[in-house]
Amino acid sequence: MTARSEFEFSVKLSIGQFVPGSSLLHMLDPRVKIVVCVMLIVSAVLVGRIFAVTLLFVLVVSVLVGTGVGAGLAFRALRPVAPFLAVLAVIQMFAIPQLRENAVIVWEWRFLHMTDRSIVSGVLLIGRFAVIVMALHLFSVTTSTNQLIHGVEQLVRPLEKIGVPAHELAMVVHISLRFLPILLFETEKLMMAQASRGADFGKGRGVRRLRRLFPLFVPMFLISLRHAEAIAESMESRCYTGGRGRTSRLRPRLKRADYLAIGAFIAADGAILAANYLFSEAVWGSRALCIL
Amino acid sequence: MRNHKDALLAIEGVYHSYLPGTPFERRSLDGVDLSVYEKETVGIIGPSGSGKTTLLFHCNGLLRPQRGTVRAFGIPIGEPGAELRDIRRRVGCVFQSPEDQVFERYVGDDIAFGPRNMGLAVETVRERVRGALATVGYPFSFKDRLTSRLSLGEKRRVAIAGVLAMDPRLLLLDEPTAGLDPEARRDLFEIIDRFKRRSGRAVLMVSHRMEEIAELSDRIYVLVRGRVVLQGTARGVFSRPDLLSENGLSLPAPAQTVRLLQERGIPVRSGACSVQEAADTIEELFRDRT
Amino acid sequence: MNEKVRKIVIAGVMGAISVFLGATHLGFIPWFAGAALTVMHVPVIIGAVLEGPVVGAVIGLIFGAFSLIQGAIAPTGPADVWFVNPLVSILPRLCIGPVAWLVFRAGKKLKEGQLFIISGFIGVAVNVFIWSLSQKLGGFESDAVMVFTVGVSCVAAVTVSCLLLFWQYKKSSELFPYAVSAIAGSMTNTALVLSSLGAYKFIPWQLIGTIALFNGLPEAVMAAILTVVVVATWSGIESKRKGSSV
Ligand SMILES: Nc1ncnc2c1ncn2[C@@H]1O[C@H](COP(=O)(O)OP(=O)(O)OP(=O)(O)O)[C@@H](O)[C@H]1O
Ligand SMILES: [Mg+2]
Repeated sequence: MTARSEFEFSVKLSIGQFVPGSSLLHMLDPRVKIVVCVMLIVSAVLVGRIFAVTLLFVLVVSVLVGTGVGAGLAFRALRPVAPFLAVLAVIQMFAIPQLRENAVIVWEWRFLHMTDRSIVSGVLLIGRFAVIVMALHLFSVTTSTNQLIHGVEQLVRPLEKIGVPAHELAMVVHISLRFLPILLFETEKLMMAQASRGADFGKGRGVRRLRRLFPLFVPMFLISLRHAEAIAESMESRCYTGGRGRTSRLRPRLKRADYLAIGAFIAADGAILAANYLFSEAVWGSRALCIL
Repeated sequence: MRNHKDALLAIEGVYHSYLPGTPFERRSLDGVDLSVYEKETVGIIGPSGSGKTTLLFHCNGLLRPQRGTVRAFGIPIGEPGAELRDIRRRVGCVFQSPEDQVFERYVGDDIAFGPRNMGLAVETVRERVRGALATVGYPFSFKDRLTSRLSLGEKRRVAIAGVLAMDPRLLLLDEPTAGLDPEARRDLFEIIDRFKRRSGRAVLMVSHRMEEIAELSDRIYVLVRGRVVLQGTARGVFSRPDLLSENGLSLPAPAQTVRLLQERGIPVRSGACSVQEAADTIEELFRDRT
Repeated sequence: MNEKVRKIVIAGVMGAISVFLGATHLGFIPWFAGAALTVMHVPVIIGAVLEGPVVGAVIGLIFGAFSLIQGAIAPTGPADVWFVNPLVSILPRLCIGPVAWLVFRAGKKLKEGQLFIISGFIGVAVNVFIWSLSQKLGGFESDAVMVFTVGVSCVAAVTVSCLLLFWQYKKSSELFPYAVSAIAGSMTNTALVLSSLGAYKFIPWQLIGTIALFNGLPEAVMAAILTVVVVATWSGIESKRKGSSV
């Protein structure tokens, strides 16, 4: 039996972390993976048809299977989200009043109702979220934080010409990720110090809880600001002055596999998006099935 | 031999690892036994990273024993549902770095944090703050100082006052004299000594300074890599310089001096730990000659 | 100190606080009827008033991206899952910082009394906007009495929070712009997140007004108090209430 102390946050922060491996996805350039992941998320938000969402889902699964990561991982990713998704889908299908306006009512009982619009909306919700969850997961599991930061920086670099501070943005993310463990440690100490003087973080709600937490939040901010000053000073003393003119030690070039992967993906994703917009009511009957 | 039942604090066979079940797992306590009785000061010494702080955190339930038992005032800590707040009220802990412990804007509010959490009346809280400030040698008006503008030594005293204001029975001190000037250190010894003399109280203290451990402690535990390798009175512990230096620990300066004199063939009696005792034994030498 | 380096570091550190508050759930305060208040947007506001709109937007981006990822990977409730949609999670959070900063800039130029009135107006405007939107899109006649009640309670809440701060930092008018900008930033978050949730039909519009009122307002008050206390201590702004409360 391991009694875990109430102050050990470290365990809670380790979800969805990078798992070293040698699948094709691990080998791909991080830029390619970022583009794929972002495109998947955007497409999932944009599509409004059941068939399109289903195709996107098939696309993610085939990316996972095709690159040797395995679909098992993806479905494991869905497990924690699944119960909540189910609840949301049920609400969407039966209890949103807007979805019964201009709709064919399939079933009705008191305030509950099921219409064609509500069914579509419920299925879309599940599909969209499943795609996004799996996209994020396949990305986070196969990409280390270092790769992520470099990838983002290189991707946004062309935008520097029009004034977007790409390097600085990457630096901010870098500092955030490096600062998290420090913050964790400092907060643990603060909470321990307060708990040993009788503070009780576990209980209470509303204003009572707030009065417990304020003495924790305020020093947390102040300690962080103090750390920030120290970090900035040490960066300057090592002559860091921002992005311009800095050279990167690693300047990876895209390989052929990267081009192939991104090309194939863009083709597939583009086809799905096009289908979503092109196939209109003629195919799907006269009712406009798309909702936003 | 004292009855084990009378111990204010009884630790038996405690194991602890940080981050258990991860690749970063690290054993920090490896079967520690320790007890503290009424009216005594118990010292813990050990090299850096030997688990001293971890052990102190077990004494007021900030960490729960992963194996073994910890009883404070007869209440077992670590069992689910143990009334930890009650234990923390009676076992006050002054942390290693006072910066972590002083967090309110004003000194007075910080010292009042504990008493307020105990639900005391406004008047009582004020009296507690006044008393605690007086104990650490500050006037009541010190309560209106900004904590962010205090020096390290001042902060440490405020941290101690904040714990004393809760009126604990057992005082845990983690390197309380680090960063204090000699005079402040003297004052602190006074405070500790006065505290432990009162009935039903005791002090458990960690320090790197052998001199002060030797001077203050009634008993000493030597902790190395999470194990107690040596325990006993100051005289007993510091008569094993071989074992200490093996583990990167030194003798208190007076004992060291006596030892050096002995090595140079001067027949000084060993066993002196404090400056006073060393002076006495050396004086003995001259007295014999005359 | 180099301006740019400091901005980068503060953005990074405040972003980390926001993520930390979310990941550990320390930043969620159980409120009534199962709802929770959040302070995850406070780092955005503090970053914006200390370092400007760009820093605010960047911290907001981190906050938003994190709630997106959390919703996808480790949700703790159905509401978390809504935030998988970037239009719910990221876009509204991008706006918190710039709005807070704009209000802060405007506030520094005004007098105390004017600020009172303006903060009241912001509160009323945002909430009446959400409320009437929810009434309209919910297919109801907009109820004048209801709008009036909401308006009055908004003014009351904002004024109360200002008075609270006033009481705590008597006559320290330097701090008012911070309080007002925190209220504005917090309400921007509430308004935009809720309207996007409404637009996606995740929550019926009728509920949204109520949520804005019972969650949004306390969140704004909380953000104001936290921001003021932190900024006052950090920039060494002395309050008139000198000394501890014992
Ligand atoms: N929060 C933590 N997470 C992981 N490991 C830790 C943590 N705190 C301490 N440790 C490790 O546990 C071991 C014991 O640490 P502890 O702080 O108890 O040592 P200590 O004897 O107090 O040292 P010092 O004299 O330097 O204060 C060390 O090796 C340390 O690295
Ligand atoms: Mg220690």
